[in-house]
Amino acid sequence: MGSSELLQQFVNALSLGSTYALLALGLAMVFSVMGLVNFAYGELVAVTGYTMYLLVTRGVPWWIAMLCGIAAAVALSLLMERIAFRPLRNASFLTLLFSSFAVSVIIQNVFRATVSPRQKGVPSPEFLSEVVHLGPLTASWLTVITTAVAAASLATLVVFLRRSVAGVSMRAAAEDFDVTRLMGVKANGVIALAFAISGLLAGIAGVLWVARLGAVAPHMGFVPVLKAFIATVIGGLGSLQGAVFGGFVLAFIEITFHVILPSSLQPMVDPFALLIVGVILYFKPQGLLGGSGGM
Amino acid sequence: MRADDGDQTLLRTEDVVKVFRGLHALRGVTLTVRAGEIVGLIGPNGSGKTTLLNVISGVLAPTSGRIYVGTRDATKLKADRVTHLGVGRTFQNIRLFAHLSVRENVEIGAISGRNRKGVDHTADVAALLARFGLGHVADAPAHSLPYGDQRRVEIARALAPRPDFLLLDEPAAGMNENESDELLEIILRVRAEYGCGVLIVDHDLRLIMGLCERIHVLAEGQTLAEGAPREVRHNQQVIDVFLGDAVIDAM
Amino acid sequence: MASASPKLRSSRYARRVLVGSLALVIPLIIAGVLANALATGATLRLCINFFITVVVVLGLQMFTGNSGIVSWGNVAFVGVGAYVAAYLTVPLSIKEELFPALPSFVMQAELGLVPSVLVAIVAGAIVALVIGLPICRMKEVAMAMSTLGLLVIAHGVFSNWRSLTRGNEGVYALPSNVTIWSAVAAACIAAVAAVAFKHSRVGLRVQATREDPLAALASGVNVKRTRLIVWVASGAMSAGAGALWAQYNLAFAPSQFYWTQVFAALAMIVIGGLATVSGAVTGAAIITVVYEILRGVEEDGAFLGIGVPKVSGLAQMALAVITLLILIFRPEGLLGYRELEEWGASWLRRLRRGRSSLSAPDPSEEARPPAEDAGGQA
Repeated sequence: MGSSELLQQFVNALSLGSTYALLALGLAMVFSVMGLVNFAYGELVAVTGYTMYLLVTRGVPWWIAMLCGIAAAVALSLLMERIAFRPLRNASFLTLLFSSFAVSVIIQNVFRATVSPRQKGVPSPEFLSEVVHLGPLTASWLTVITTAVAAASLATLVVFLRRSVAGVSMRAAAEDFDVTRLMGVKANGVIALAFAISGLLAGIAGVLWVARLGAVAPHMGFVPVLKAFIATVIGGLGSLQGAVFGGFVLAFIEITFHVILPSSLQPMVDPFALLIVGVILYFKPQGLLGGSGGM
Repeated sequence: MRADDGDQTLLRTEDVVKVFRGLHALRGVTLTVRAGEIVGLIGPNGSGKTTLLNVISGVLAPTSGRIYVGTRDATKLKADRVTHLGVGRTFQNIRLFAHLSVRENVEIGAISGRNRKGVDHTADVAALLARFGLGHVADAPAHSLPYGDQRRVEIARALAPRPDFLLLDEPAAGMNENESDELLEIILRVRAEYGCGVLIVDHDLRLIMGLCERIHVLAEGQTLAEGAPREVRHNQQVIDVFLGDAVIDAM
Repeated sequence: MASASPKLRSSRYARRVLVGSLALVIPLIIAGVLANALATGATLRLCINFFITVVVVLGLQMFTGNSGIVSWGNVAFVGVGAYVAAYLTVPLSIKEELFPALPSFVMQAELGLVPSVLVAIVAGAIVALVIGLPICRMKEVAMAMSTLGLLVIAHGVFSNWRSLTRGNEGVYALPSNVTIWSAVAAACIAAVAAVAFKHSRVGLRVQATREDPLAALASGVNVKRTRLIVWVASGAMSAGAGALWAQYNLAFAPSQFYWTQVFAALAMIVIGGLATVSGAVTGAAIITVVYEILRGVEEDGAFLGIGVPKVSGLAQMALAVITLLILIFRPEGLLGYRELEEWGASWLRRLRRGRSSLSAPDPSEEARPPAEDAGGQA
């Protein structure tokens, strides 16, 4: 494989990795303050898509639909927290996990019932598929924007977590769940904030995801949440930096298998990637960046 | 109890160092507990007492130094193997098997310790429960017991495999005077009946002074002083580290 | 002092297992008798599938319930068992077409129900051992994550290794070897096995690792090895369930060993109370009944005479809502940490005490009531 193709794949991996990093961070945000692996997180991505579908097909300009989609994700995230997860805050890990699974099933079926059980196309602005040449590299505008948006979001989040009062108290809560519990009433605010940020990240990732896929389907949230989960585990559950790092690692692993596997074995990219993840976990059960730790 | 015959009945740490990501929790601690002896481990918060217990019991691996249980080198052993060598322990925050019954808690200690193969422990477990006054709650879930009873369950569980050495991490935490007097009685009885060496970490200096034959004082990960209670009480460095006479008066 | 001389553990154990087994076996047999006498057609199918589901769920409960580690992979072992059953029971002529790659001694084999289930159990145990050796060395969360990976990898293998599995086209032509009585028998045997395991020394040690892995380790429990043992046992039982399932449903595809089934199985144990065997069986019963009712509502478009919008996915959604509500009100599951027989004994004692105010305090009752929001850390 020539070096320009190598470089091309490297760029692809960066772009994919930044999407995964965004997704993983949103998931890790909730896990770090509440100990909950939110399986319904994928539905936040899906609701962004569905909102955009409903608006764009009614003639609303794409960028407005995009903003509404993100808002929908934030709203749904907060709703989930208030209705399903707050009553269960002190329940066991498995109960929480399973509840999020149940919430996910409910939301998926809402999509199925209110919109359609089938896939629906979502047109995106044409310029996104136009291709840009940067020296030896080619990338679609979508790829470039994805990487840029993801990087900008991550940077903004870092600043927020480091500089703002809300951000700092979130980091404190992320370090130690017991801190969250001790904070009592204030914990509600911190946890709600975590869910809101989680929704925001899912929304941004959702916009990029739908632009790439060009369609929405009831079970579309499954892949994002799975990738996010795997990425956070690679990086180390409970570590926000780990989530970001894990997202890139996962993307690189996937692109590698995508390249080296023959076309007949392409459907096995995910299983092979998971095998590598298993190996990583075997040697570093705490994830590559290990243990808990905020930004 | 037998006299101190060579290495057979010693629990010993040699120059144990433990470093956590730049934090030196232990800077070379050498400590010995003989069979049948009760040694107190005291020091201000953060001096490394619990870390030392964790290293001895195999919960943490030391950065350097060695740990011996009798003639066996326990340095690299994980906690379950250390228990099989005859070391039992309790924890600072009581760690019971919450939803299992009191009897089951003690039974797990009995069937997992060093006398575990093929032996029927029912009689031992029943005797222990009776000894600790837990017979009437034997089938209740452990989490439903009052705090003091939970402590006793934890000690009973640690004793179930008849260890040679018992490590107690702040067993008197949260107890009032009556309760800690009872605890003192229990520990003395345990030593008398089981012949184990006891290493007890606690902040209750009244208990420590009343109970221990030897006291080991840790400060900032190092041994500050060691000896009989009387000596330690009058050691100026110890007094300084414990900030004041009010504390010493309590001793 | 303890009364007289305490009974030996072995006799206490035997008694506990007997009582626990009867508490499950008797209702199962009664259900079987009723189903056989009263149910026909689709209802009978439902009942037989229920008994098979009980075996699947017990396989999951044995691991997740006792160790406290969520396993997504139990359904993968069910799949393994199903494929093994296919290799061993499909008539020779068809088998050659379906699975050309099989070694000849497998190709020639045409086994009955019991031998094929036994072989599936052994196969499940072997696969579980191979996978378990690395993953049981991991910490709890990493291990749970690995079972997720196992599910996805297994599904990938089932879907893509065409010469062994026919990929997404699936497998058919299995002989119909399962009757209501074999299903009931299998459910009973699984129940006894799960109860016997839970109360055994190993089972007790596994539960210790669930309650507090560090304290378990410090008490002398080899946490990793204990988990491996229960993992293998669970994989074996699940594979047996798969072999049974395959020889009743006669055809299957990889999609039957994936997320929908994982959700259903987890729902069943979480609702009943994952720490108890009777919880798993109870949960299976409740979910089966509720789902059937909901499915009927979805199809007929009516509930108790009230019109209901004909909505695709209504049953699934309603089921998820119900399970969520049950969890919000009883986060530890309906049975919590007590087996059916323990609940029964507790109520009997309360009744007796109510009649005689002079009776002695009850030794098994809680020493003090647990705190209000004891969601409990599993």
